[in-house]
Amino acid sequence: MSEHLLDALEAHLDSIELRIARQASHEAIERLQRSYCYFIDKGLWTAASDLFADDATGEWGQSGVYRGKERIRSYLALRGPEGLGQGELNTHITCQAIITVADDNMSAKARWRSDNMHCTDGTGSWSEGTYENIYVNDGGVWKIASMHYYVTLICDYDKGWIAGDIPMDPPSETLPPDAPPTEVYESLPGAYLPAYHYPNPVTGEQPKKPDLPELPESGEDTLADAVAALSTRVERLEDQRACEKLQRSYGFYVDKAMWNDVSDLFVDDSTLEIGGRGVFLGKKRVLEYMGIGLGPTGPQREQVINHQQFQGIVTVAEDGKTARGRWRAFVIGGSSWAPVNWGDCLYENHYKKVDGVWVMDKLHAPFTMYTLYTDGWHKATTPNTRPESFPPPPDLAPTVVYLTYPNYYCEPFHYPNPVTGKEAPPPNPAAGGVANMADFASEES
Amino acid sequence: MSAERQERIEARIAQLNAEMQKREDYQAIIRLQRAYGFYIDKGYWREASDLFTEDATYEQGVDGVFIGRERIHQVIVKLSGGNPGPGLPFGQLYERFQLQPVITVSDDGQSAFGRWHELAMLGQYGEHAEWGEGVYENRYRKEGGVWKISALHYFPNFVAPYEGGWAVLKPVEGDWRSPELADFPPDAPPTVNYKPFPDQFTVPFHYPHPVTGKAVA
Repeated sequence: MSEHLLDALEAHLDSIELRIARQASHEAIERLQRSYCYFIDKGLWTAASDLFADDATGEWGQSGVYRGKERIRSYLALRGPEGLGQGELNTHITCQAIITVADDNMSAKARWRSDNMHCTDGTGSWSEGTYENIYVNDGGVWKIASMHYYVTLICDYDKGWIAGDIPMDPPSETLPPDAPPTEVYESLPGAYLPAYHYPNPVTGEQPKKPDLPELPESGEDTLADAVAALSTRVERLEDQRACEKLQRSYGFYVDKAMWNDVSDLFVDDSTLEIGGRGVFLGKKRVLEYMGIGLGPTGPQREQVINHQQFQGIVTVAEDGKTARGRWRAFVIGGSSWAPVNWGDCLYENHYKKVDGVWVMDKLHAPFTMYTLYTDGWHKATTPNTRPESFPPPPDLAPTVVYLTYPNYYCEPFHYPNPVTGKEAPPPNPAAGGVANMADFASEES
Repeated sequence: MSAERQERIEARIAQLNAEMQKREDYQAIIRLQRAYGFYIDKGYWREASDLFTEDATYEQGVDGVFIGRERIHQVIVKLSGGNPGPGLPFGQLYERFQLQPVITVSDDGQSAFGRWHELAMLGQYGEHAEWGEGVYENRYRKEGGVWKISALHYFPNFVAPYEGGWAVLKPVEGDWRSPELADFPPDAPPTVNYKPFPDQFTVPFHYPHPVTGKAVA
């Protein structure tokens, strides 16, 4: 084997090794951030602060900045002693990660959100916010270098957001921060846009690909083939993460009514179909759908339109040109001029790679349930939307007509059962009705 | 010299293939649990129970342990209200979000642990609605190259009425087993006894602290 070929193989392996290591770093950062929330859930302040680097900083809402692991622990412990007392609730469910690992794998940035349920002195509340954090690879151990949590809303459980907004705490007087807040803003009813650490995944600058020598194509089980096969495996995982980033960015942009950024995730032959409103063709119509249908661009005071993107199952085609994704959106919506609601929505989306960049091909979002905050889903549900109920009208009629909760609809799963490999059958004919489903059950169920 | 370099390259390829396999295992396990959630939401009980190993266990709250895939199928049906599926009857909401995974694959790549957070929207139209919240500590096993759930253990923290929410919950007294399982005893008693919110219980962590490497209380 020529030295020249061996050089080329080693260059490829160096690159692959780094790409796999960066994937492992994604996992480590997911573990760090998710552990942080599992720990503070239970008042484990020491375990939570031990996730930080020695010289880390922490800033939560308008707390101001705390420097160093020990000060961070003291700040967290303002909530109470280690471990929660009877009747205390501090649940933080963190999701929707957009993790950007540096090219050299030594640092990373990430945007997250968490939905939080609290109870103190017999009073319940909800809160939600965005993290923009920095992580550092400290000799192979990832640590939190900087945590900045931006509060979107805090609200009284009984009144909900808008009617029951609670302001953020000012900087502590008992444990003053080391520096004042780096950004002064108001949570709901105020509107604030925490800066994104990353550019728009479609129109922004793309990650650079290393310049590598070409490998010979043989198809005969050579070392070059083994290296190429390994490179493809890494690439499929990178493809999956790129699609996840696309979908999660969609959610973060919708949250803040960033309609231009939303439509930039689409291309001219993409489609969008949400609820029962019909099909919109192309990115220009996506922009009209958002801007005409959903209101002015940019976050508005006294309004929240959180579309939280959860539980994604992304399946990349073998050739790496297309992908599918099943997701759910947990919707927190409403304003002082429109109904305040909870929403639960499913996605079965298509993505495609255009000139090396993953874009939305078809966004298809059947609604599961929408309800008014003041009532709850057992008392009030919003019927599915229809083309005539929404300006502007669609380019094409809905591809599927269905009823939302309290009725039943199951958008088909794009993937076979991960264990049996079988396609899921259609629902029982009695699903969504009051007839005894057992009378209509098939042998297989 | 060329032969030596070639051997080194072969060894590196083998090592990187193993590293890549770990990444793929991590993703496969996350996909498995999320698929479980999407099936449960829509009343696809058979598809959900097919994700378990033949000898798997299922344990929720203090309901005890159900052993084997068929028993798991039965208990999933019972707990959801008894309809055979696939699907849900009019007015039932059974949304159980599977969130926040911490996945730890064993060194030999044949088994794994996973901690998850569940947020649930439950209810029956015209009657009642509840928020649910809890934590899973599950186990997974690779059989014939396919990841399966070998033990599901869900620790509900609460199921709270929409009216008033978790603030109106009172401590449970005595037996708080699921009433749906009154005529369906488990195969073994609960492995962990605890009380849900407003009492406090920290679900034990399957993994050491990510930075200090020490056990977390």
